[in-house]
Formats: sequence, structure tokens, C-alpha cells
Amino acid sequence: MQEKVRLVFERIKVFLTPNKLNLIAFFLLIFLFGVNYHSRSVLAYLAFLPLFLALSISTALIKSLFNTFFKFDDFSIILSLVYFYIVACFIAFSFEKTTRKFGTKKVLVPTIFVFLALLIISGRLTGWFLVFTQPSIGNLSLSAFFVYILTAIVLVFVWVIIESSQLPTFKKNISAVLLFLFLLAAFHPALRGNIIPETLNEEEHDMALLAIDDADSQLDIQGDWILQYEVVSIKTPVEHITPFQGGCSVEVKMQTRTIFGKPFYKIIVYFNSKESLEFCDLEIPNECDFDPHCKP
Amino acid sequence: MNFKQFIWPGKWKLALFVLFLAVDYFGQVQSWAFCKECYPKPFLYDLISWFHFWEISLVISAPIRVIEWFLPKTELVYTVTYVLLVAYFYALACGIVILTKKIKKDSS
Repeated sequence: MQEKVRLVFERIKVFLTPNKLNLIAFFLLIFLFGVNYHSRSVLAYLAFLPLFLALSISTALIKSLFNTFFKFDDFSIILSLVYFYIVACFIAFSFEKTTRKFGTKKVLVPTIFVFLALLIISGRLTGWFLVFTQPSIGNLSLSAFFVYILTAIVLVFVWVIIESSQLPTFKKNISAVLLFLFLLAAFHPALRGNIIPETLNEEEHDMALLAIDDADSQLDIQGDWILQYEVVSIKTPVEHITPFQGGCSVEVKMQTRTIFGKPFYKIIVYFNSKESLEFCDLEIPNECDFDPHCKP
Repeated sequence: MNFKQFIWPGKWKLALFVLFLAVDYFGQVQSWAFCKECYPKPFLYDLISWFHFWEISLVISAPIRVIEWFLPKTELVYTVTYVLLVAYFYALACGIVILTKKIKKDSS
């Protein structure tokens, strides 16, 4: 029995030990889903589904324990990190297995195609092509985007140098893990600091919804325009906020993308203070409020 | 030929699949042109203006577009139909590759 347990632990250890494949898969997962964490991507939802399940089951038990030391968000980030790594290990394991069976050449090309497909699908769902003109989309500013790409290139470069050095394998692996954790910190929106809006709690959210209650009738399709309100947060530093004259102290951010050729506007209302939620009675802005080229 | 053989991924099937997805993606970027009030244009817009991605994407995704035409235009519907579109693109890629192989086999 003891031998069996030892064998299982040995297998888990081999499975989880970082190697090139694990880390590459880890990086790709972060790249695909991490960047889009707040973009409501279906893929991101699918990727996070087991995480959400795990969270909901374990929350009641663990939250009270962890709340003493961490905020819940911190905990979910740690958990998502672990989750990503385990998924990456699975991908690497199955890749290695199929490679052994069919040969690297036969497996590598389809894998690249699958990655490209995921990248395009993820981009299409989240409107990545708009990132370059709408700096606030997906909470990703243009300068930040290039900083992440640059960081990634530098880190991969450092990793290649470490891999080709004379260091013992264990030290190589440890430095690779540290590098990729750093990369995660650079990529993961939740770790990027002030661009993550402060989430409303349930009561605040209800108050905010009440505040824009009058606007509800106009939230549907208006001709060719799709307008949707989403109350996201109490105001946090966000780039490109359009000032909006409403009945209370709010600022409005607009996200734009096309879905099957239709422009889709998501208007996000940022309340300047929690107190202002009580006094808000918003007027509906239309697309012309945001677009200097629009002629009503 | 059974269903498993039909959908089993191969180099050419996946390549075609990615090609369809890419054409659809660039088609979306070009569709920005039909929105007169939308400004500025996406970054990729000028780079890909030399090719008729939008028209081609309309043709290759025609069946899904027809279905979509009858559905309400909400974000949820667009998301669901996109999942359908992805499945359709893969099936189309499989169909084309298998048909090509069959024609090639018959002619030789």
C-alpha cells in the first residue's frame, strides 16, 4: 500500500515538474486567456469554468480561513495560476505522448494550427483587432500592450540563455519558473494594478442598477446600434474616459467592437464615489456623445 | 468512411480551418467600413484593404449568416452563432479535404 502511494506521488511529481513543454504551454495559456481575463471571452469562461466550480465549492470552507491573510481576489489569482499550470502540464503530457507515438513532425504542425485557431477565435470574440485604435478595450492600453510584448520577448530571450548555460537542471528549472511567474505578473490583468476596476458588491450593484433604471428602455437595439449598459465599478484610474453630464457624478467609458458587421457599443458607467450611487439618475448618452464625427 | 474518420484532425484540415477563421476575422475588420460613424478605423484595416476578405467571408459562412438573419441581434446570439460558425468551418474544412482526396484517388 505504502509502495503504491509512493508510486502515485512519484508520478504526480514527474507530471508537475517544470520542463520546457510545461512552461511553453503555461505561457500560451496565460497569453490566450490571461490577457482576455476581463473581456468576457467565451474561451476564457470555458477555461475558467473548472476554476469557478472549484471556487464555489471550496469558497465556503477556505475563504474564511484565507480571508485573514488574503483578499478573496488574491486567492482566486493564486488558484487560477495553479489551475493554469496543471492544465499546461496536461497539455504538455499529451503532446509528449502523441509525439512519441506519431513523431514530432506529425504532431507539431497540427498543434501550431490549433494554437493559431484558438488565437483567432479568442481575438474574434474579444475584439483584439480593435485594441490598436480603442486603447481602453479589454482594459489593455496600446502602450501597455507593447510593454507586455516587449517583456515577453526579453523574458523568452533570458530563458533561452539560461537553458543553454551550464547550470544544473534543477537550477535551470527554478529560474525558468521564476521567469514565467514574472511573465504572468506582467500579463495577468489582475496583477497589472490600477487598471482593474474595483468590483461592486451586491448591494452597491443593485443601487447602481436602480440609478440607471430609467435608462433600461433604451438599452436595446437602436436601429443599427446596440447599446448596453454595464455598471462595472466605482471610479478607478482608467484611460480615455469621456466626461458625461449626468444627474450625478459619473464618468462613462465606451467599448466598441463589431459583431458580424454591427457596431457594438458597451457603455460602462463609472461612479465617482460610492455615495453618488444614491443620487444618480442617469440620462442616456447616444453614440454621438462619444463620436465627434457623428451627425445625428 | 465513418464520422470519426471525417472529423479526425489532420494537417490540411486544420490548415483550411485556420484559413477560414482568418478570412472571417479579417472580414470583420473590413466590415468596419460599413459603419459610417465608427472612427477611427481598426489598426489592421488599411493593411488588409487590398483583398476582399469581407465578401469572401460572407460566402464561406453563408449558411450560418442565414440562420443568424432570423435571430434577434444580441451579444448572446452573436456569441452562440460564432460557436456554430467555428464548428461549421471545421466541418467544411474536413469536407473539402476528404472530397479532394477522393477526387485525387479516383483520377489516379
